[in-house]
Amino acid sequence: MDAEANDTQAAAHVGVAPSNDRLGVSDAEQGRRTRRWARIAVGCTAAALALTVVRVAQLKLSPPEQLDAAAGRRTSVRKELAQRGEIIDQRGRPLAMSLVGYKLYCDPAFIYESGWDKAKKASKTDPNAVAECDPFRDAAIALAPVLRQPPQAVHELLKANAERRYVVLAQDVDEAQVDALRTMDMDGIGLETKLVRDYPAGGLAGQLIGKVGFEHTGQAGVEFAFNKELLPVDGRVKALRDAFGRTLWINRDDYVRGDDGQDVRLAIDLAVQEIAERHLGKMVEDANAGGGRIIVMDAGNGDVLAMADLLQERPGWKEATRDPSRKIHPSLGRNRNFTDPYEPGSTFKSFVWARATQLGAAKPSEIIQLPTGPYVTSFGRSIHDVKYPGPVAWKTVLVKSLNGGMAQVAMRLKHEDLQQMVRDFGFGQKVAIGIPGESAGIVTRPSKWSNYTQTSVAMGHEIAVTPIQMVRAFSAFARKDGTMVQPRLVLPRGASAAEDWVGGSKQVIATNVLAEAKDAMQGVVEVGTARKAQSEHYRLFGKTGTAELAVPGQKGYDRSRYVASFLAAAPLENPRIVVLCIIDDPDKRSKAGHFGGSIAGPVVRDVVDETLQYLGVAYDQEPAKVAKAAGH
Amino acid sequence: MRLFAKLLVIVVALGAMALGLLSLRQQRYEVSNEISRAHNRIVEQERAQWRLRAEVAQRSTPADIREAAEKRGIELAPVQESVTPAEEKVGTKSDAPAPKAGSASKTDAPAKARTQSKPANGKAATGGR
Repeated sequence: MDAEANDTQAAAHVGVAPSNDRLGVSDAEQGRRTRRWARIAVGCTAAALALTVVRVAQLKLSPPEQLDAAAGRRTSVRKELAQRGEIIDQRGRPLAMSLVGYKLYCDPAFIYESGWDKAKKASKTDPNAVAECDPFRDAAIALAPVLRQPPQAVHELLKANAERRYVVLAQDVDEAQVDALRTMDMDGIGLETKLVRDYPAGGLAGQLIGKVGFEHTGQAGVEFAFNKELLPVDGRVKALRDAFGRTLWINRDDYVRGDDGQDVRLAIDLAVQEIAERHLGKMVEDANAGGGRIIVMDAGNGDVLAMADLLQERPGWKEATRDPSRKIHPSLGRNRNFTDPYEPGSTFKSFVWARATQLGAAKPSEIIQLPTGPYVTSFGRSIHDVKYPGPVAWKTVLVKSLNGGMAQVAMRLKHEDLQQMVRDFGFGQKVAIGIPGESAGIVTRPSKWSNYTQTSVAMGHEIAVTPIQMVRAFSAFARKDGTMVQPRLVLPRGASAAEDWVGGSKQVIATNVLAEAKDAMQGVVEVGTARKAQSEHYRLFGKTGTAELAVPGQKGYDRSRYVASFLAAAPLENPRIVVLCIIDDPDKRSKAGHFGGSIAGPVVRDVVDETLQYLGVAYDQEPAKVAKAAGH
Repeated sequence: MRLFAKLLVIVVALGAMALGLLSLRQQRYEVSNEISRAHNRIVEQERAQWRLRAEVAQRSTPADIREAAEKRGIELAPVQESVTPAEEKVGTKSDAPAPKAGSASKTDAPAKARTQSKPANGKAATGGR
């Protein structure tokens, strides 16, 4: 009360009438009111703020479905594509690589709804808009030129899948199509990135490289055998997006980088592969053959520089090598160089000749008493030859490929000797090339081995081998120590060829016999059955073979169908490569002929010439000498 | 009056802090967005690089190079390889010089030669086979 009186007195002193008195409200009352209203205002503001915070939290943490749908997804998770490992050749040329491709998909239900919505909006200005509306027809007309398909086909596809939300319009669209689709800015369609496998060398080494399927996993060849190494691990990106769907933010933890698959480096040299396939393909065509196979191997380190397998369709021929997978895609076919054994015929004589000489069954200069007709063995088997020259030197038996001589000397050997020879040279055992489907070949069991087998094997019959086995075995002639080299298709990762070189096997040919065998096989090329295989630049040594084909499902041989082959190495002194060419079922009526020396020989000669020149190997003879020797 | 001044200072300080924080947050968003865009650009460039490599490989197959060289009358020389220890041991390589460039067949130039030593004539094997 005293304070109030003092205030009144003070106001009177300055000549101002107390306002409270004028309004009839005391100051105390006014103050109370002000404080009350202030409290109410603060309380309301605080409550409003609290409600806002609660609402924000609610909207943020559990928004209503409608709002959530309207706002769209704020984050998106997408796959970060990693590259499947590349398959490269010995010198780093890519043979198989992955690219990013696009798949075009659409949402027919959305196209339909969106088309009708547009028509309804347009009906305000165009009364016929609804009556003429056909969203699928409009979409088909717009998409057809980009998809390079007739509009009817696209229309039918959309109509047939009208209820679906995801329909693939094209599995692979190219860059031009992608640009056109992006320009169109059409609702209801989308592009999905995916990996596509590209084979830059085309069909070269197709059966060896193999192929991947839709899921980008290997289906055949190296793609299949090394799928685990080649397979990538895709990454993941979770991104915050703005209202327009643009990437706004990627948290550090939300980005997981993909791991590319490992590269696989093959021993194949693409240039040599091209040389081999070119010459083989031409001869298969010229000889109207059912197919052909060729292997070029580095005799030093066992690198398979080229490996090709061709099959030719011959209309009207009922006999043919069947490979249904190859009809689906050429690269899905089996690689007959290690899957399909064949009877090597006379090419096998080189191994028997060397072992017989090594065991002392015959000396190169020894005269083998042969009749001027078919040779009849001690157990009564009649051995036929193309020519019957009578008694000849053991060396000549190989040079002229005389069955009678081989059978006679084979009978001087014990069965165990020949069986041991077959084992030593690796026949009947897988080469372990590293690709599934390899065959070990067919070798008669010792318990079933008869004199008939003994003489047959000496001529390369009653035994089936794979081309890769033959090349491995023949490498023993091409190496100075008489050891075989392990063929390899895939080079070790991150190491040079020299560092990971696999040493040869145990010695299978004595060094003194090696020179004599090479000398005899040089004779095969110079004066024997492989004269057409003489090169102008390099001296080759090798052995031809022309084996009759077995009649399918029956005993015996077809006298009109053959497998012609030539197995050789070059250059003579320091052999660098071993080459085997097989021509399957050549047409006897063709100009090229059907003997190994006449059709497989020239292929080997040309491949040797070009490959050795490519590898920078010096010529080892003068062209004039060859012309004279060949009687040109 | 003093109370009002204090309040004003607090409000202004809080406002400035909020502004600063918001501005930093915005900058962070912008940087992150730029990083994201850069990442996308890198991915695109990487994919373009894959495509170009495939294109280069497709257009430089041994057959293409041989044909192109023949058309232009270019004689390709072989790449002289060094003798590896393994080959030296087995003795499967000749020490003799390589064929002359003119006599070499026309094949392609390897992308990565296993060993590209100098050929016998001492000249670097540029564009060799």
